[in-house]
Amino acid sequence: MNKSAASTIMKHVFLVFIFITMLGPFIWMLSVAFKEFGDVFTYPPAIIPPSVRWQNFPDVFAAFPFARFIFNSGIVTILRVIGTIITSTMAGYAFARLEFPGRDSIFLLYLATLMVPFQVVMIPLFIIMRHLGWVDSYQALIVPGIFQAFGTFLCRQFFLTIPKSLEESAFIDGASFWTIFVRIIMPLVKPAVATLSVLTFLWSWNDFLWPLIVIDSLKLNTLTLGIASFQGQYYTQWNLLMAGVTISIIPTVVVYLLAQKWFVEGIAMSGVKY
Amino acid sequence: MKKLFSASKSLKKQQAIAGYLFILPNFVGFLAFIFVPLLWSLGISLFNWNLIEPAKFIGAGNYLRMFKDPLFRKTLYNTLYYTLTSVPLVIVLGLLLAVLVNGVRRLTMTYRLAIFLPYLIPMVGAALIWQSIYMPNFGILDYIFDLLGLPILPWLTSPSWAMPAIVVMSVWKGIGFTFIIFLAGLQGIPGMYYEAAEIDGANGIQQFFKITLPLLTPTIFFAVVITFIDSLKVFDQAFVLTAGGPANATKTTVYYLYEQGFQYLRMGYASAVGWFLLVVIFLITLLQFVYQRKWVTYE
Amino acid sequence: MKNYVTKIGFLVLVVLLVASLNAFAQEQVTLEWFALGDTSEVAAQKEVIAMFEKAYPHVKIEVTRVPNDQYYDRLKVRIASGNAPDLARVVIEEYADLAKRGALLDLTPFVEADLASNAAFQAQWDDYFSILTDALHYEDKIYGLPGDWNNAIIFYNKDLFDAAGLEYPTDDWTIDEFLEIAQALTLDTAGRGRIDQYGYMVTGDWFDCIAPWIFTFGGQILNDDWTASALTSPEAIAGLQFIDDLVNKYKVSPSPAVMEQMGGSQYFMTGRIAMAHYGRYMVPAFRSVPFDWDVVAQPKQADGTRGVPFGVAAVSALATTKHPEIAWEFIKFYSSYDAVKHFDSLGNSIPVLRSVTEEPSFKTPETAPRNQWTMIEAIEYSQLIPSPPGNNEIINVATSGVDELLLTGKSAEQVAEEVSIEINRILSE
Repeated sequence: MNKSAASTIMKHVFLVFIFITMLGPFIWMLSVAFKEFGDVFTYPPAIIPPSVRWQNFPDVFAAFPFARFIFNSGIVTILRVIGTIITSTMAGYAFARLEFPGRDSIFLLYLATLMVPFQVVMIPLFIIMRHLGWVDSYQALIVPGIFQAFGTFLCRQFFLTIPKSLEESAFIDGASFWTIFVRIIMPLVKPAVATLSVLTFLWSWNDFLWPLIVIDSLKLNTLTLGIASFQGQYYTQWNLLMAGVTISIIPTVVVYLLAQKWFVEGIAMSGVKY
Repeated sequence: MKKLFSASKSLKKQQAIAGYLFILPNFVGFLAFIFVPLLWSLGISLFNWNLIEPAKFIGAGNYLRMFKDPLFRKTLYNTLYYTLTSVPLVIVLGLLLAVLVNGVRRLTMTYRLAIFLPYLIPMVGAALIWQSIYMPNFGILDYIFDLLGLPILPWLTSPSWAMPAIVVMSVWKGIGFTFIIFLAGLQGIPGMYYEAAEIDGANGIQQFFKITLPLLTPTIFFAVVITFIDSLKVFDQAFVLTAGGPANATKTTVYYLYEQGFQYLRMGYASAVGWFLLVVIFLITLLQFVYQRKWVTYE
Repeated sequence: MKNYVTKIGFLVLVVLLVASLNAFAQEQVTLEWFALGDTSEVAAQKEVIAMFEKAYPHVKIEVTRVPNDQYYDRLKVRIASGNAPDLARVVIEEYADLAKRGALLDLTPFVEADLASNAAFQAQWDDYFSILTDALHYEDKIYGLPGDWNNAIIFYNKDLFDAAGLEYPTDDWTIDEFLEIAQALTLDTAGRGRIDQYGYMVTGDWFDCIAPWIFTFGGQILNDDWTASALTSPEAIAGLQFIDDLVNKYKVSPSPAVMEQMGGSQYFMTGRIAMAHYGRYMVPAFRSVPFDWDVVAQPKQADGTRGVPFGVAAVSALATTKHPEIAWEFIKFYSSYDAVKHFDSLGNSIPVLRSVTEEPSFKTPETAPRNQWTMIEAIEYSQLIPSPPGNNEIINVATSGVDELLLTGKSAEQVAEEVSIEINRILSE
């Protein structure tokens, strides 16, 4: 066996070990998700459930308004993504292409806030929600998230890479800024839009601290908030909890599989995690 | 830079109006939900306020109080411990995995999925899964250790092991992020460098240290800056796994902020803690940028 | 003929008019009830609410259900954001805090008016256990009526006693007997070389653990008017030391951190703990356990000293409610005989009315816990769990302190000292 084949095999061996380590916890999650409550904590622990309980999954929906949680996360995420795309592309275009007084200083302001942890603004943000009467409402979950500086930043950077010639000819032909934006620019920035959508989806779906603060009633809980509240006051139904967690990760996995390219590009290109 | 739309005076005006209109929706929201709250929280930090009764001005009182509170100091220690252990691990392991995956031709999609999957799931979900893995007396981890003849560790139930347990779980979750970044970085290195090195007789390890690593330093720098900032803000895991315990061993600064603000309703004090965190993040990032000249090579 | 028709028609018109006037006079009123509890508890609350709505047809009570461990955070946020609910269950630990901030409706005028003129209410008032109504007075005013209450007693697993050939404990047992039994029941049952059954469970909990042991050793947590910590007295330190010894010296209990991870009472419910402190609130959960169990009183010192905490939850109205009179009617109803009897079927708290506890269904029940009456007998050595404003921070400080006591090398004196400093700081704010 030659040297390079041996080293390739070594690499694969190592990678398989990594594969198992990374996926191991998910296997355990599935194992518990299918167990009877009495089988959850036994010693030695069993990976294959002694008796498979499919009932856990429907039970999750019965014990908590789980379908509602999914719906809430879904609606909030979709609206937030749409809002982000619309406002960020418009602003990104303006910062990249249009001349107006104060443009660069305003953009600097945006950049500066990229480093600010959400925790610094969450208290005043909460108070603003209170003044607007938005505490415990969908608006509170959707609206503030739309204006994260990152979206504008990403769009601007991307727009700067588009060749100006297309716009110039359209402009000479008498097109308005808006027409140029909609007809020429937007079709060209699909990658940026895709990436931004996918990242916004991820952050919105997995958001925890803000919903924790601003949402009260069970019926407005998002999915992450919902599964956290599964921990009962006196004891936890671990099998149902794991079934719930399983359900909660399916959407992001599906989106990843469908849109791998945009995820990877988005993170690689800019990677500012929320 | 040649201006795109060159300028007669009325055109300039038109452009300016268009500019403002285009940024208007975003800018208004930005001001209302990000910028104004940021400044406002600085203002609140100078008051004592519990949301129900009127606020009382106390100047720097909240900031002084922070440094006098032993619990606050402990949370700083906890947060730094977490950051200084998880960041190096996530960077080194992420790099290692990227090199490995980049170096094989088959099954790359599968490996990528497995490594990236933990990053995709909500932190809350990951924390709950790991909580059942770490379960004292019944968790699968104890069992595996037992089988391997390793000592059984008290993980989340011991003040000394709780934070390490959280670090392990966070690294598992965070590796996908650095992995992807490094993978992209590796793929950006032109193959001809390696070919030239082969011809010169360099082996794999030499190639790594002489070519790969130096060319990756900008990417590494980027990854370090981002993961550092993120780690300083750690909250979700501590909240779900241990509620900051046992004996405050996993109470992080952001947890402390949440507790003071939303459980004890000390809004002014919590805002002060938030600003302190911001200043720390800013200073550390600044230091990193200054220091980068020493080790980051740009072409 | 025409005359009759017009007369009848006129009569009908008048009747209709009067009827519709009545309807207008009592327009629909809606109140919001902030509900705490699991599915069966909230279901019982809804049944009582239905009973109330039947008696007051123009009133509708909307139920907002909140997960237990977020209830008070949420309530405070609702109050802070200016849209508080109308009615809530306020547990004593939060009661003084909310009363002090002016968040609760002062019911003193309503109570006094009804005591003067309403015989049914007079009877109800006398029927409450007096410790409960006393506890709900804050600065001489009352902000709620007793809704439910609990004290701390010891639950024990009869099957484990049987397996070890031990007699069940009796209500007048001593601490020495308790220790002996705990040690006899701490075993390695699977022969795996490690303890997998414990005699007792130290939860580190403020109510279930810290309070009963400190009280039983003659100490106090706070002084009488809740203005300073009393933990540094030798008696309180002795109580803390005992808790520490249970885990680290006699080793009859795992540490509370282990309990936290498993989710509280799971350990007891899977039959690995022989004895544990809880209150009646655990009874519904314990009904489903696969072993036989009962309750027994707090063990006493050789000289007869013992003490347990009791806590009470009030049914209160929020100060911002737009319908205080109707809120008052609801509060009265919620803690009246019919409602209290109904809640007793859940079995998750002690009835607030003496008459309900005197009935055979409570006094001599057919199912576990058969020794239920000991909860009432415990009244003579029960004291109110300290609940000053700022309480939730005090509880956090105390439980972290106990964690440190049990898990690090700190001594009971040290922990008492440090926790006292913190408590005094919180109380002085």
